[in-house]
Amino acid sequence: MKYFSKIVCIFCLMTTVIYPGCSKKELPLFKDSKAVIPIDKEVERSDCDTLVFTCIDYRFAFANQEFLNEKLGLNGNYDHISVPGSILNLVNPATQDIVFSKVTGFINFHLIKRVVIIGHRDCGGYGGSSAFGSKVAELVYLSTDLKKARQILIEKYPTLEVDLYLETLTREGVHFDKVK
Amino acid sequence: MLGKKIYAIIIPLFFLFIQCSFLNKYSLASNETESKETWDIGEANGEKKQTFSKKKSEIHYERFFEEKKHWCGTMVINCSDFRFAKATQKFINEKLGYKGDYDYFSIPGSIRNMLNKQTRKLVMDTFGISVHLHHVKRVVIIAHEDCIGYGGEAFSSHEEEYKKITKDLKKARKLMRFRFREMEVYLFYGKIIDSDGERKIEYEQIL
Repeated sequence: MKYFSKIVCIFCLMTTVIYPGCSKKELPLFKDSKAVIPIDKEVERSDCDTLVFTCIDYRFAFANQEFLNEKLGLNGNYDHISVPGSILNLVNPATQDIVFSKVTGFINFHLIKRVVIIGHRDCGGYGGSSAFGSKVAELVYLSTDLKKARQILIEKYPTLEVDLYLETLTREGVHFDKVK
Repeated sequence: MLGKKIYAIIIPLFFLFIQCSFLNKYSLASNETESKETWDIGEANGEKKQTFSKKKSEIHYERFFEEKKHWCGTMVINCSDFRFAKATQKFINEKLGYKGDYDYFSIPGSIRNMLNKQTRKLVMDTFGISVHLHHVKRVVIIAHEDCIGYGGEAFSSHEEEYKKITKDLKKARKLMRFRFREMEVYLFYGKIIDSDGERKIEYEQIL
């Protein structure tokens, strides 16, 4: 009871400062709050056999979409998992189970046959380029991790086809290198 | 003795309650008055955004090598489902006009993992990477109907599904604001509609 009044004060402060801020509403971005996007009949499919892992990075987000839709010809027919470091959580034993619990759903529901993993240099999930010391060390580390991810996936699902790509940002655009 | 203490607690709480509701009403009222204007301006903004995105049809990658003045403006959290992939890309790139300026999170069930206590820490930490590394100021969360994260067709009706998912979205907004202060959080609910014999995806903003 000694600290009761203090606890009440803190509670009051929290309700006045935090609660109104947390439940604030945003302004509508569109008229009637609705936006409609037509589905392209030619590219629409009812099944999907590819699962893609990418990193969240804003510098690569649009390049990834172009690469997957046009270069690989997937045209939006892929399940996409995008998390920082792409396969960092899959390779890390501590978080591997959580990732697998999500991936298993897709592989079973959508009958996934192919997995495409795209990693990139200077990745925030790994602590950026500076965390590796040199460019060669970074390249070796990232490609080893990508191969490790392939190994883990194939061990669990032996029939999967796994393609690995490593992308590099240049002043002209984004380059994709296939990792064998 | 106890009776007096109870009054001492109840009275400030009563005032606080009034203050809270007043603050909420005030913020809502200001939203309503501004929203009428923004509907008109919204179109103008849309035009502006379109021209902006037309100019920006190709991303200038050189700017990523320049000294950082502007980082990344937006974080988009979306579901992994392939049926909504292409439409969502169009929605973000063209309708919202955020092309080349957003961190793209794609996780099964979008915010379902954030509300699940087992995975909340991991998911919030990954969002934290984007917020601290790329200085994101705005979050767009997109959920959709018939989501595998919610068990596919686990709901008895569309209304029930809509209610549950919008409730979850609002809860996610609260959690997001609680963890990352001053964050703008926009919520969208995507569903497939059939208009004029064509299948379209409608994104409704949840306010």
